[in-house]
Amino acid sequence: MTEALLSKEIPVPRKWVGTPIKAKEFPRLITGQGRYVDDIKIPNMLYAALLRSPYAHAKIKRIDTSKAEKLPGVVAIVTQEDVLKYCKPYPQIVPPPADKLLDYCIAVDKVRFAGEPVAAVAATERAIAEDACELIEVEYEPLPPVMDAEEALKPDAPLVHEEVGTNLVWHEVFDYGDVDKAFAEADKVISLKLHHHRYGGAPTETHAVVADYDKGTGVLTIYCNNQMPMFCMALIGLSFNMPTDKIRIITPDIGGGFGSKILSYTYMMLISILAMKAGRPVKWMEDRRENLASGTHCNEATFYVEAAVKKDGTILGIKAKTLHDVGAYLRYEPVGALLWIQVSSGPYRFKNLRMDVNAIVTNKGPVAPIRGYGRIQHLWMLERTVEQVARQLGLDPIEVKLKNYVRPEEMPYVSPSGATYDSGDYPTALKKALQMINYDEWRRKQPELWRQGRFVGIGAALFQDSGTNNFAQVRLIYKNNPFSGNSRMAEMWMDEFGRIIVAVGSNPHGQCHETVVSQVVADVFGVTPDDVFVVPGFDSWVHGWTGHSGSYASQFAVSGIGAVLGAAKRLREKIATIAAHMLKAKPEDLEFKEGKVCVKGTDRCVAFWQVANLAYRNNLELPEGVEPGLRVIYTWKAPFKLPDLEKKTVNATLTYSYQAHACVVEVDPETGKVKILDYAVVDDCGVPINPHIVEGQVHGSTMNGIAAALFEEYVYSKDTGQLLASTFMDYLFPTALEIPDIKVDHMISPSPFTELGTKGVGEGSLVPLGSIAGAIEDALSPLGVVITDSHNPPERIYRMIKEAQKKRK
Amino acid sequence: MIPRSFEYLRPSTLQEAVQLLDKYEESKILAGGQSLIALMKLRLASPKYIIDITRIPGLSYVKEEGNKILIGPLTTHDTVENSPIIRNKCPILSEAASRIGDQQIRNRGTIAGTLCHADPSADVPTTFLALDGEVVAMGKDGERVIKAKDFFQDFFTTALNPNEVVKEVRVPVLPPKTGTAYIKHARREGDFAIVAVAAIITLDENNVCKSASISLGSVGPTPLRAVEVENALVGKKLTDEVIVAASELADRGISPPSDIHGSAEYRAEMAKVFTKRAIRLALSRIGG
Amino acid sequence: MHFEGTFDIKAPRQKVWDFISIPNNVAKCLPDLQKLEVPAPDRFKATVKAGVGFVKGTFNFEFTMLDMQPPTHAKLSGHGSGTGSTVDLETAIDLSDLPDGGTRMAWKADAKVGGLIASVGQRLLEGAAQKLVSNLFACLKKQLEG
Ligand SMILES: Cc1cc2nc3c(=O)[nH]c(=O)nc-3n(C[C@H](O)[C@H](O)[C@H](O)COP(=O)(O)OP(=O)(O)OC[C@H]3O[C@@H](n4cnc5c(N)ncnc54)[C@H](O)[C@@H]3O)c2cc1C
Repeated sequence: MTEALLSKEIPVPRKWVGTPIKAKEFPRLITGQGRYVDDIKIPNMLYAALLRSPYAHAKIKRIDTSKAEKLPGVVAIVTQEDVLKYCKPYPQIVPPPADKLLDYCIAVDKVRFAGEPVAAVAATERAIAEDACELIEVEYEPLPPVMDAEEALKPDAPLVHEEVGTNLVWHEVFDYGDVDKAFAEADKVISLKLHHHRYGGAPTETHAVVADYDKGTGVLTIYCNNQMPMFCMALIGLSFNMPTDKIRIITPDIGGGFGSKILSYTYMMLISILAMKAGRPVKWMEDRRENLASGTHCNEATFYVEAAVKKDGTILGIKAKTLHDVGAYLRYEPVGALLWIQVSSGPYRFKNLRMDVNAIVTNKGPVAPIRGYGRIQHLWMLERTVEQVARQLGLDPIEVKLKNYVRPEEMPYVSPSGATYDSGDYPTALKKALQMINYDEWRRKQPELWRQGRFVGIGAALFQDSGTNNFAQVRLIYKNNPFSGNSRMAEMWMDEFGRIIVAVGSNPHGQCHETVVSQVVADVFGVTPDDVFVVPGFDSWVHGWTGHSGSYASQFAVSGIGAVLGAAKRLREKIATIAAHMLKAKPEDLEFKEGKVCVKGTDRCVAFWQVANLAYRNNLELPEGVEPGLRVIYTWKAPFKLPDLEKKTVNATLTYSYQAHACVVEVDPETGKVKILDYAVVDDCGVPINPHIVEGQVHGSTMNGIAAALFEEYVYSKDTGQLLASTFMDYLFPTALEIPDIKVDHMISPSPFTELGTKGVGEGSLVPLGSIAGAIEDALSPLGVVITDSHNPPERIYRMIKEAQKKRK
Repeated sequence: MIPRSFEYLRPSTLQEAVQLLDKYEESKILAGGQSLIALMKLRLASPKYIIDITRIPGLSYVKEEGNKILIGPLTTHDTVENSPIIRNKCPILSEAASRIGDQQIRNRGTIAGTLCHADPSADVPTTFLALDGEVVAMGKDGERVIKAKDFFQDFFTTALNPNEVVKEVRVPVLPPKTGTAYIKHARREGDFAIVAVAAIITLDENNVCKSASISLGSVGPTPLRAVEVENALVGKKLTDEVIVAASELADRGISPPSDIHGSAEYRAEMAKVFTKRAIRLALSRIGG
Repeated sequence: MHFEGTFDIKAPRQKVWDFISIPNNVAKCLPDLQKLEVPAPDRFKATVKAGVGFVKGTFNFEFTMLDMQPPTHAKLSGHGSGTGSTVDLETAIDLSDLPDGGTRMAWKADAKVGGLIASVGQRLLEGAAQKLVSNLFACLKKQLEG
């Protein structure tokens, strides 16, 4: 296949790309016909339940399973002993000494967070497995838990991992530009301490695994809802005493993930061990309490920020020390502590930045790459800082933002860390969002409302959603990490009857990959999306995959579609070659339309099925040298470079979608409760393949952000280390009644770095964390309240108001 | 999240239900299941016998008799919310029922269920206390009437004997020139209250407060009457100053719990704020 | 959770001390005692049922008497588990003479609760624990005076 034909030279009509067709998967998913892990039933299957630690930190002195084993219906119980037989610890990506950190799929010797699995039981019924868990006796020796990143750094702090010798598992300083000079030239230096809280994804479907070990062939099949199973394959392959060619991973439909489902490899292994020990297939469905307690929360972060500014609000430079509380194990960390590097100066154009980054283990649940992973914390910190810059200089926060934004004519813009922002017009987007909430009108009314004792405020923020990451970024954590770049594989074929089938093997969990793939492919072949079948789900024995496969990090529209386009063009070229032979024409004179290949400008056509017939069944008629069959594979590779380890710079992501949010809130000064009066979003994700689906993602991300700002927090007891938000009674998932109507508008700045001009859109970066914090601060500005936490429940605001009122008196 | 095993019994009359309660220790009535099943799934409660009364006919009704409204024990929150009798004659009960959880829960949960469950932060118990309602309890030796003020004894604890069922719930038909309000402070609509207030205000012909009944939810082991607030209202013209001053007494005699949504101090402050708001709202609803 | 209290007992100090240093006497005051074993004079195992209303769980406790300074000071440390939860309890008792020949008992208790009850029972926990602990000491007083 020549490169020329794979390039942009084949003109593809844009008939379906950009059209808001209804998603193909919706009818099946919303009428209860989706097939999830829990729908899988295998003959002879057992049901598992896990016994979890009631302590946040304790030595395991003894586990006695004898009573549980005697319970009728119990078939197998797995504890640390079994796990040590089957597993080596998971590999870590941190430099020494934290690379020594021991992590398994079950607690070994110590429990390190409340809710950590201690034993797993397989029984003929789930109820019996739960009964058996109650009969397992575990003797613990309680240890003091360490529940705060700053406490964890004190010399006398308890160690979460003795084998590491410190709770500080990663520390690095990144210094860009000339920060000292910026601070020397500043008119004013603004300092802040900020805290970004823990929240998570709370997907509709919790973690689930069915493990089926076939003794005859030695094949272990793992059905699961992991959203990045081939990343897990590396961990499973390196730590499991099992040949990887005998491990098959299948994901059916997945009910949400938000990044939390990247870490379920521990459960995939634990349930597999249980199945092997029981000699029967085992199903495990996590319950809601387990899901909330198991970790997979977002990174909690504390920031000490200083900003060097000019009197007119120009930001010269920023210094920030960040403490990431990553919970009890590293799992995907410390990547979350590093990912600010994708958005180092946020939407702003200051050049001087010094980041002192620290990742710290505590006795909380391990964190996961939750939606907006590692960037939200940083972007939120920048928004809070810029708004405080404005307020402390007596300037309008909106004006200060506009002044400091990267200008559209500066795109593509290289940020201090080397991250290259591909395209966009930040000032216009923000102004547009403000117009949508009638900004001028509210500003005019605001003084009068304040006089009436009504605390109404306006907030606006713009966050980027960096997508398609360069895995080489992790070499800035440890230079020896053997990953880089990004890639995706797609397979495509035309069957004997001329039907087009695509296998991308991504793991969508709400992103509608079947729909967008069929739109893109329909355009290449001149058919309709209904003529393209996209194989649902993923099967590691069926789908091609690379070490980067999966659904995460806002990228399918770039990497997945890149692979699909590559495969489509390969297939199209082969079809054209055969059709040209049949039509006695040149391939470049052909066009694809309505299921046929025709000589342009004539009615000389062959139908797809006729071409396919030659390729599959009538192959003596094929032109010389053409291989029978119409099946191609294409592997897309992202155009990245390795990082500069000296300067610590890297272009860490390929595309930069962004959303500008503006809102009006009212704070009840007597209760501290916040009500959203108006909410608007302007979204720019480059060329949208399907605007409906984009809008859905925008709504989802906005809700996620409102939830995080006002409702959802994983609160732990400082004293005992218990998770206090452990059911949906306390972990406050908002409902339709809490979420306002959201006005959405779009802008399109095509990415110059992708074939269709698309950008990733899934994460959306939870901008309400910024806009709502700003709006609350604005509402309470007559009292001079400063918002320093990303989560603002009523009592916290109430206390700030009372404090401020006391000070004024 | 599967309950421990239990025996399931389904009597066809209330008498039979009482006999079963009496016969089996650690037995529990199952009504809407919206509290009981949740606790059983968490394995925080594990009755050995579940006596399902939901198929017993004739236990769901709302009727007016004299100056009382009689409500069958299996009457759902949704029925209470939408009953024309309750809406017209005792609107605060309908308002309280409308604030419970979400529609699915209101379709299943029952009035006797929420009263017997006796969660101090639940909506109907707080209102029932303000209304001076009563329940008719039925045991193997007959029936007795228990007044609201005697009914709630502690967290999840009522004056019912283990072998008694609630046969009927009674609330008064409210007199003319009465305004009522049930409001709650919760983080989300449908959450249990951080603080809840039920206020019933009756004025005389000179618009002087003739009676005031204020009860607070979620500030102690049971719903509590704010007696000092009531006393500060009765016999006065309810100017805003009077209301504000009276509401400042709402934290007297309460012992609020703390949780992640509200510390005890915060709840005490909110008790005052919501008392003030409930009284204002009740007053504004008094018709001519 | 921390609780403390003081009360006066109409009994001489030595009598109070002798009474409370016998596990059987203390165990009698535990809520809804189901089973008691006393493997050593300073240790006992008790199975109790505790909770609020019908929300009750069975807990297996092991108590150890520590730091015994007759007849003035004693510590009782207990560890219990049940209902997916754990309870770690440290109590300290100080006795002093009263002018009227009675005894003043000052007690302190620190309880740490883990697992299910701690995570879902926040609203009830403090009140319920307070009640359990005060009942225990009230019961001791009653037994001594009765
Ligand atoms: C998600 C969710 C949200 C909720 N939100 C709220 C809320 O915001 N506000 C609120 O107030 N409540 C709320 N509830 C609780 C709801 O009000 C329940 O319906 C109510 O507490 C119990 O009524 P039930 O009929 O379901 O009783 P069940 O759960 O069946 O029983 C509750 C208790 O009452 C006993 N019982 C029931 N009927 C009788 C009888 N006739 N005689 C003697 N004993 C009886 C049972 O034995 C049991 O002990 C919520 C529940 C859920 C699941």
